[in-house]
Amino acid sequence: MSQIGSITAEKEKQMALERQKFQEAKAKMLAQQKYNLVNKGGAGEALSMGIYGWFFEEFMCKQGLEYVDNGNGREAAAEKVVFDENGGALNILNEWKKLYDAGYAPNVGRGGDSGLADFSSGKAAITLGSTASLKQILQDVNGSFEVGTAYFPSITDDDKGGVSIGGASLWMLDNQDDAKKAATWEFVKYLVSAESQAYWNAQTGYFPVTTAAHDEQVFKDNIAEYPQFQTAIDQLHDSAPEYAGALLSVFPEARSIVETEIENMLNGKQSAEDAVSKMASDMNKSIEDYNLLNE
Amino acid sequence: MKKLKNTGAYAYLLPSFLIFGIFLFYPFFKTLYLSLFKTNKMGQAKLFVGLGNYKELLQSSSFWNSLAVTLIFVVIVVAVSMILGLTTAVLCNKTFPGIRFFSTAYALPMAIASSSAAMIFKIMLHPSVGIINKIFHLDINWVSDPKYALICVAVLTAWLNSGINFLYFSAGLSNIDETIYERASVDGASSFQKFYRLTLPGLAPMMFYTLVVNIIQAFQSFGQVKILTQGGPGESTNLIVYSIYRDAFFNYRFGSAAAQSVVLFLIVLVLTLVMFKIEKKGVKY
Repeated sequence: MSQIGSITAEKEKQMALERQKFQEAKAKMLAQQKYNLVNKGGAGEALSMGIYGWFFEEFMCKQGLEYVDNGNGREAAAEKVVFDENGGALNILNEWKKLYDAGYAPNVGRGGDSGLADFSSGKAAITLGSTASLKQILQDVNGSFEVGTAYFPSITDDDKGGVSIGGASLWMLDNQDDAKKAATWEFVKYLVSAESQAYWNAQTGYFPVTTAAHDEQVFKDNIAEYPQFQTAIDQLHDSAPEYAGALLSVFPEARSIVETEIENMLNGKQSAEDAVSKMASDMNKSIEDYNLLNE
Repeated sequence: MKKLKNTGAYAYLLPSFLIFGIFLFYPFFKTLYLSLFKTNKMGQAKLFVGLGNYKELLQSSSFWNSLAVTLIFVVIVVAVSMILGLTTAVLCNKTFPGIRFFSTAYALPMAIASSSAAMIFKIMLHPSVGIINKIFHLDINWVSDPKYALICVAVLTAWLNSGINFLYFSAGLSNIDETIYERASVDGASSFQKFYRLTLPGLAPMMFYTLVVNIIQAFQSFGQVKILTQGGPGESTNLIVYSIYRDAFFNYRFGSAAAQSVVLFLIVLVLTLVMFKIEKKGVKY
């Protein structure tokens, strides 16, 4: 999912299911776990989930809980995190640890793409990923098994939230040059035109930002051939703006802190509660420093 | 007349001083300056904290971990790369049919960018589809296991540095007079004795130079960490240069990063001075 100078597209997370390896005889659904996980019915591992801060944020949105204060950072600049106070983080970490301990979700490394190799090679039954990688997965799999897609999993059956969007976006810088500004605007208009968005979606899986793109022939042909692309669009329509996620000044650092603490927890160095409190204290300190130095 | 001659000399030095000034001296002093401040996200010095950044560093367990990890890393890299370079240089010392191919192969790591090599290694070390696990029938997640991640990065770096070490040692070996080996054979010396008592002392000046250069280069390793492990898992490969990069360009804390840079500079400076002191005693020209 290259984000360098790329076209505007809101991207979604979706699950890719592998049906070929499902063996009825061996499948047993975990009674306690209330979310949909295909068990080790012949697959090498059930779920290849990379340690990625973005997944953590999505799980918070799916629970309908906030990440930081001040209206999730949207009413005013965030001053502290609230995922420790509202219990959302602990829910996520507890479930993650349970999956890891049971051997269903081994540690496949950090980053959003680290789980994809396992899935494409047929080792993992499920993986979490961005729609932007859907085309890549389909090409890597190349018909060796059927690839299905589904909504991003929630933590419990009662979760009322939805997914938030993210990914590549378009930015225009003000260089005080009117000619450049006009030219850039023309380029932006081209990039978000229905044609470009339909082509972009068909080639990568990135969600088209222009609703008119749905009427383009390229888009319709792609959906007809690969109905998997439709899942992300349905998922966003089933979500709501209040689950749009947080605005935070120190997000890169925050994400890195989340990944480090989850990694330490999975490696047995700390419990889920300790991980949550460490995340919160580290992030609060960064937010404080940032607010102090940047008015 | 004399005054004119001297001014001429300094005039010739001007271009190089200009380049040094812009790319070496100015950043050096700016870093020192920044290390005394806390900066905003644009890198402008905002809050004067004097030695505050340094105090925070010395109290931060993450920083001490970086130092320890870097030291272990440097020891492994320098040892392995020098042994590799020396072995290959000795192997290619006497001509034999096909030596061209082998000497090119041994010097090849010099031409490979560390980032490209790291990307290749990343695929090779992948637990499911990587070739290392397939050949040895293992199931180890190399770069995600705190025990093995540092060794992987160190071995990769050592291999990359072995190319130029091969070159240095080959040059050093060719400086040794061939006739002393003949005289030693006449005296009944075995090849091990010849190596230990003739080759190694003959290589001493070159070895010293290679050692200094390797240590300084190992301290500056960055590309491999960024691509393979990003400082993880659990900070076990958080080399100090990578830690500086993260603090400056990811966390936007230029003051703290500058302080770490100054500490790194002091460490390498002290090491180099110590090595030069030892050289006076150990190396005979």
